[in-house]
Amino acid sequence: MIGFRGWRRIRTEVLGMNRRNLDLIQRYNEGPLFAVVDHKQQTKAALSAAGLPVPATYAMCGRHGDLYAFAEEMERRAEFVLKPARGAGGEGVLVVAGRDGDSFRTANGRRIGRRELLAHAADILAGAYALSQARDDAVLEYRLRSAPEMEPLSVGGVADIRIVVYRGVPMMAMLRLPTRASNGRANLHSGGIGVGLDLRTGKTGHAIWRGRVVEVHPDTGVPLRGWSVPAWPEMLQFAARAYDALPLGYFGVDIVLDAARGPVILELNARPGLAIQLSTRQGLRPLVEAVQRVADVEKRSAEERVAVGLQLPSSR
Amino acid sequence: MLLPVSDGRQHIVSRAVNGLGFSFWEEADGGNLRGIWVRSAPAEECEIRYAVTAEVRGEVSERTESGGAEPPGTVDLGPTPLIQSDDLEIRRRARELTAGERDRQAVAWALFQFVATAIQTATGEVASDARGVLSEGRGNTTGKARLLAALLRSAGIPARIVGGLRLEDATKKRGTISWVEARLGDRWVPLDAGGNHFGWLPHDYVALYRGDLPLIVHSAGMGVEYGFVVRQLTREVALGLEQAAPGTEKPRIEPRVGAEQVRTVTSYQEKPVASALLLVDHRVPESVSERILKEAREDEVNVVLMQSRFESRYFREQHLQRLVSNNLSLVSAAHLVVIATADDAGLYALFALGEREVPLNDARILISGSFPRPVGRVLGAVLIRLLDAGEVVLASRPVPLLALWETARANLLRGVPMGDEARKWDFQVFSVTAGSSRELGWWRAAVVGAWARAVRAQVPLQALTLILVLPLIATVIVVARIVIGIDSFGTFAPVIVSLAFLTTGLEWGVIIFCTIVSCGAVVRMLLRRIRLQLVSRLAILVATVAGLMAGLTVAGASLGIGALINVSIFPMVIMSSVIENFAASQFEFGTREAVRLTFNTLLLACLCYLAIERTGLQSLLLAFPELILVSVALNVALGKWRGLRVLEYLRFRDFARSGSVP
Repeated sequence: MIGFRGWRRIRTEVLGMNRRNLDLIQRYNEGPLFAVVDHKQQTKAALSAAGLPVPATYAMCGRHGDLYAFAEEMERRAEFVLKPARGAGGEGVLVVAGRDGDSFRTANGRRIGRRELLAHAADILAGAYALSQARDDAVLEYRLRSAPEMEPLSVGGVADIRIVVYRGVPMMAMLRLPTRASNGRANLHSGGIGVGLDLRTGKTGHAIWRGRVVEVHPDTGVPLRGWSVPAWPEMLQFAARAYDALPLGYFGVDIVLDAARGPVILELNARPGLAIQLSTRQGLRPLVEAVQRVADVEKRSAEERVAVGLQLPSSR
Repeated sequence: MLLPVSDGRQHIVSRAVNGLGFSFWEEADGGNLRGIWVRSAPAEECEIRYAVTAEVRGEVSERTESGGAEPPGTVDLGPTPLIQSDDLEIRRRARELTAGERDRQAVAWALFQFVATAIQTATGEVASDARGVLSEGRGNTTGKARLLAALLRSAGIPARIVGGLRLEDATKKRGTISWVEARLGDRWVPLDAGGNHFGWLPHDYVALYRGDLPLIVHSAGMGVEYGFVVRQLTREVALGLEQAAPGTEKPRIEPRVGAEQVRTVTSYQEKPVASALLLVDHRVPESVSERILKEAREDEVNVVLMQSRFESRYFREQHLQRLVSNNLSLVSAAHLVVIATADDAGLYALFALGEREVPLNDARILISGSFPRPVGRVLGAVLIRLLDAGEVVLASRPVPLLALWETARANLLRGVPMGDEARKWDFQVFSVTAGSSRELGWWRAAVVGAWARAVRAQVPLQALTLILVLPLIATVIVVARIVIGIDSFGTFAPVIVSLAFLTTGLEWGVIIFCTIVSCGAVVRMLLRRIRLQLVSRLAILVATVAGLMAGLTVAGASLGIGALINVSIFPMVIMSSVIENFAASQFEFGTREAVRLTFNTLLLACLCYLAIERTGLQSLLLAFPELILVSVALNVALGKWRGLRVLEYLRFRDFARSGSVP
């Protein structure tokens, strides 16, 4: 049974949807910057201008007339991702992993010709994978691969690290793992696992899957506790510096540890979910209040803000 | 006895019944109207008279519809023991007569010619079934009609027997005659083989019933003799007759699909001391109606008891109003109107009178139903204002009809105040009079005046209340979202869906919703393969939903499920977007999440439905429209609320335990 103190703890520490919407999103995240974060390519451009690593965009195509130039770009590479700029849920994403002479080989081993790739790009332009728009852009992008250190935890996809940043201060972090049920996606809504991370060390702690606590990976049985995320200090730095590139008051940064390039920022999310509190077993509210007590926190440097984050009160 | 009804050819101007000592009621039976006379005590010989004034249009041309407009059913095609359309001889003859003919009109003409000319018209002892008439080569009008119907049916043309009367000589006592109506194209066409009329009928034919039925059915062990007296009236005299005897005019009941839910029981006196109208939204047990009729006879009071029963409140209200407007003269002549409903529909039943500016001239109105007293006071004042009624007495909870009747009867005959009598029957009433409605504050008086004017101007009050109730229902959604934490597809989609439930009722509404969403989701899955743009996808989904709804409507009509017939009011576009949302969240978050959101949408729609239908919110808002401001204030407060949602407490319950976990 949950006693009175338990309920009290939920009431005073958990950041709920109502408070998040009113005090964080509506207060800080309105205006033109919000639109930028909603657009993946614009986000990437802003981050990359600030010197942050992002998956390189090889080419973009918005008109059927540009398709041939676009195809030239594909021809020059052996590995890339072809995807819709505004697609959702991984629909229409084609991962090319290598070449067989003239044709290409996808990540799941299928051979695919140049004409087929072009047809796919044309489908994307026609809006076949867009959920709400009538048309879309096709994007040719760097192919991310899990670093060997993360390999045992990544099933059928790439794991990522979500760091919640409030006024430039990294506050809370979670490792998100794809599962068989999530179809390679690390999104918790889709059935991904959320593993709480210690903000100081980058070590994994509790894990939740579909709203329940789990100790091992449901597909492989690998224990989830006690792993260390490599390049952790660098990731915290990236999270804090993302705020300098796009000064939104409250967002989540998704970082992937790439086999070749190390930590790479995948995207920003201006409405990060609240389940992260379940995986770390820590409420966001005391942390938000603690950051609010630090005067002029936005004006400090990224290093100083990381230091503020590491000194935040922690329940354990 | 089967009684004539209005159709495309004839219009029943008035009906009067006279059968002293009998209770009489009318029941719709298929497309026919059946009048039933019952007498409890055994009696010596007596006479019942039923007078009908009918206006028959001149000769029907081929372009006018003769019969009722209802489409043919399977009974109009199949064989019966007397119309042996499957008989070998009949089928052979039909084939011979129509060899080479494909046009249905020509086929019907050939068969008609044969029966009209080759079969002799005879009277007396002759065969009267199709087979017998064919082999004997002669028959009376009924036999010839049966033969023609059998031939038509075996040729695949739906045909039915019509029983009727020929209004020729006023002095002669006559029996009924029969003719056939065949379905040619999309209308019923009269074929009278006995009188040799193809596609038209003379103006002295009056149809009494449709179907191969006996005109009169009576209890065993008694003799019944009957006859017809025919009199010709000019139009003015007929209408004057109606004016002169409004108390004896009979209710006009238009038989239609589902009309068997209406039942009227009446008791008439030669010289009534008063007349009362009872309007009930449920079936009254036989014993209760018997007792009411008996007491009314003893008191020499004319009583009309109308009962109707409907699936949804929406139709109950509408139907009560229609019952009133169909029987205007009856209602306006009543000294006392008693209305008993389960909810607040009774308050609206008499608004139809106001719409037609028929005053009730000091009559007393007793209404029971469930509504808050203040609501009753305001809407009662609207009634007084509209109808010039002497007094509106209201019971704010449902009361058994018998108790209402006894209270009304004591008041009518002995002048006992209804409040006193009601206490004896264990219920409480409060009354609204012209005087008490003047004591309302200026604002309330303005509201009463506004609604009265609106009703006079024929504004549909029902639509108005739905508009008024919407802000409150939207607030229900806001509470569900912000306080409880139930998310759904589209912010206010559940509100629109719940409005559709109002016409279908909850159970069928849920079934229809689930059917449409699941079929739509399947179609959406198939569409995924052929990758279309969003707008085309949505248009195809609208087509899918439209097709499903048309199918459900037809299924409802053929299975006799009233709720399904009203399915066409279901909001197609909203349903299509629910399907599209379902598919979108299925792609993004998986089937589990999509089903969860659909379930939530349905749950909220049910919640809204219950809030509208079961709480009397509509009447409350009609009486107190300023409540809309309360909803605005409530939303300001809710929009600023930062607390955790109820479902978030549940979601984070593990979190509460972890305080003790190291």
